[in-house]
Amino acid sequence: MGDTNNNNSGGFAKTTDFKWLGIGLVIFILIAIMPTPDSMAQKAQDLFGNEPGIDIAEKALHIKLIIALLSTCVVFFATEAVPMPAVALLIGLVQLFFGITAPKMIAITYAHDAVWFIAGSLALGATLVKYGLDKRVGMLVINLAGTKTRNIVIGILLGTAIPTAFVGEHAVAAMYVPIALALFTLTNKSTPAPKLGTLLMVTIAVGCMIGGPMSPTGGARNALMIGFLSNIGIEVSFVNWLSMGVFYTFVMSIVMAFLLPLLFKPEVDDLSDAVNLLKKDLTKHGAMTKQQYIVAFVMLCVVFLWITDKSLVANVLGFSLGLGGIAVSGAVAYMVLGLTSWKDYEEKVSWGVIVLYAGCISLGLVFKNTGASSWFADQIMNMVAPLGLNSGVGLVILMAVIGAVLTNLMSAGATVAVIGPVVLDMAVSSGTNPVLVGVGLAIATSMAYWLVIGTPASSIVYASGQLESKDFIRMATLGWPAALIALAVMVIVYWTGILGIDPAGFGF
Amino acid sequence: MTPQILILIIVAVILIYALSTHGQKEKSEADHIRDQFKMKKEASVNEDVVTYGHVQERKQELFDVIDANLGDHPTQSAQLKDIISDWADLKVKSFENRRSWVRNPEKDFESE
Repeated sequence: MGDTNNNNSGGFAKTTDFKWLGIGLVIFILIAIMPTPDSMAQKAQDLFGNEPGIDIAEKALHIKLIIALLSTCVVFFATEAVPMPAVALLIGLVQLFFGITAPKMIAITYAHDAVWFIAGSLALGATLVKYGLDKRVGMLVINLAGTKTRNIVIGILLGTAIPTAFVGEHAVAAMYVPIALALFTLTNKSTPAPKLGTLLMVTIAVGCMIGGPMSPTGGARNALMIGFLSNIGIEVSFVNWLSMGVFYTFVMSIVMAFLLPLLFKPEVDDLSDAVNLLKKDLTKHGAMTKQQYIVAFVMLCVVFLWITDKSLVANVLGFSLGLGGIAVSGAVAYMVLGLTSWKDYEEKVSWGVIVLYAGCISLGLVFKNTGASSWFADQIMNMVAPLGLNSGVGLVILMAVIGAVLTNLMSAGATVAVIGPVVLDMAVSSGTNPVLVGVGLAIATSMAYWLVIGTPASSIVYASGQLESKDFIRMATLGWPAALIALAVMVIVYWTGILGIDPAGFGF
Repeated sequence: MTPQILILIIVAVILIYALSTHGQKEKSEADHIRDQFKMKKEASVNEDVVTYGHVQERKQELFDVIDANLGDHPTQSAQLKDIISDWADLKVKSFENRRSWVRNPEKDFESE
């Protein structure tokens, strides 16, 4: 999964930064002790006024405490002051100690099919990487892409984007970096070509970023958004998401295939010698093994079940299995077939990521249940109403821009976790289809183009030493607006026009 | 100005500061990894790294020298050949270890 399974960053290996921990706590206390705004009391009255025996002042206090918790989480997500799984558990503890959620309900707020989906997808991805199936894709790209530099760029873009939709982007980037380095080194021996090295590395980072939006497995942010949408009664199937996201990936592949060679004009336009040498090396890997075929077959079965879950599976069983149930089935199948062990899962799957996103699901649920997201949504709506961006496609694009900005400052998952429930409430209260706003936001959070630390893939290609920080800024100067334009075109032309999703509807 | 507005302004300023400074630590970590990679790369330029073919060539040359000069000392000759064979194996191994999965099929099942 795209923004997951990365043990080396994202605050999983870190210890507490006491300065930011203190600042986060001060923010919580400041908001908690400030007089409760009238608007919160009014919101609590609107939402819970009809329920007998409800203390409206207490409900308004809960709204305030959840806003305080959200602000503290933003500080912790942005600064990684506290290990991320600890933040996830802190979300439950605040609910517990302030009496916001009943003790026996706390664990339930962490439980969701989306969490199973993240866990199962990470385990599936770990097994694919263990058996080198990701590398087979890389080998295929080199065999099919030809020898022209531009064709190789297209090959790498598609060859990174498509696997990233199913396997963690850090694994895909780590697999492609040696291919790009070999192409660069073999060419550089005869013709000095530093720009070629930069181009190939930037292409890997961009490919990994544009692949994530394609499928629900392309990043925990996608699973998180599916969870949030499910909380408001909209079920998004694998096919629903795929049909919406595939447009973005392919359009951006085409855009970047033209843009990147223009921005990083390579010294050579034909890599025949390097490609031929590389092909010779790759043939030494031999044909796919029996085990690789079995691993691929199980994965294909999982994808087939994901695609047919709401149709064939639901017709045969009388109920659908859910994305998470299918993902976990595949992960268990690998163990039952003796292809992997529990120890492998312990070592290769980032369980901290699963705890983190379970915490985000809990935050989203309590945000919605207390009315805090509705209150927050009202405040933002009041601000953007004069601009005419408080409903319809305007709201979708505004939220996408906010998501695309925030994802360069926080991780994509954290961005969706923090603003996801709010934007969905804004959509509901303005009569805009939450699917457009929610999926649009999730896709926009893949646009962490500006910084070398924007995504794990960017950090990996940066570590190769072939490019500088300014190369990312150079790419983002045109690439980031292009991605936002592609998203806007997709919403207006493809989602509402061709797929027929009603901007004023509710769901599909 | 109401207390709520004052507190919200303070919180907003802190949040903006946190968001704007968050990248500095990560950037310096990424720079550190990058510098280590570069140093490793530069150091390896000065290493006597040779391919499997070159190692076999050198090994055969040394064996020829031993055969030509130490014919009267079969035990020492065999010992020297063993030492040279061990050296050759280590050289080949270190060469293979330097290669990425692309050029070293043995690394197929490792996640790098």
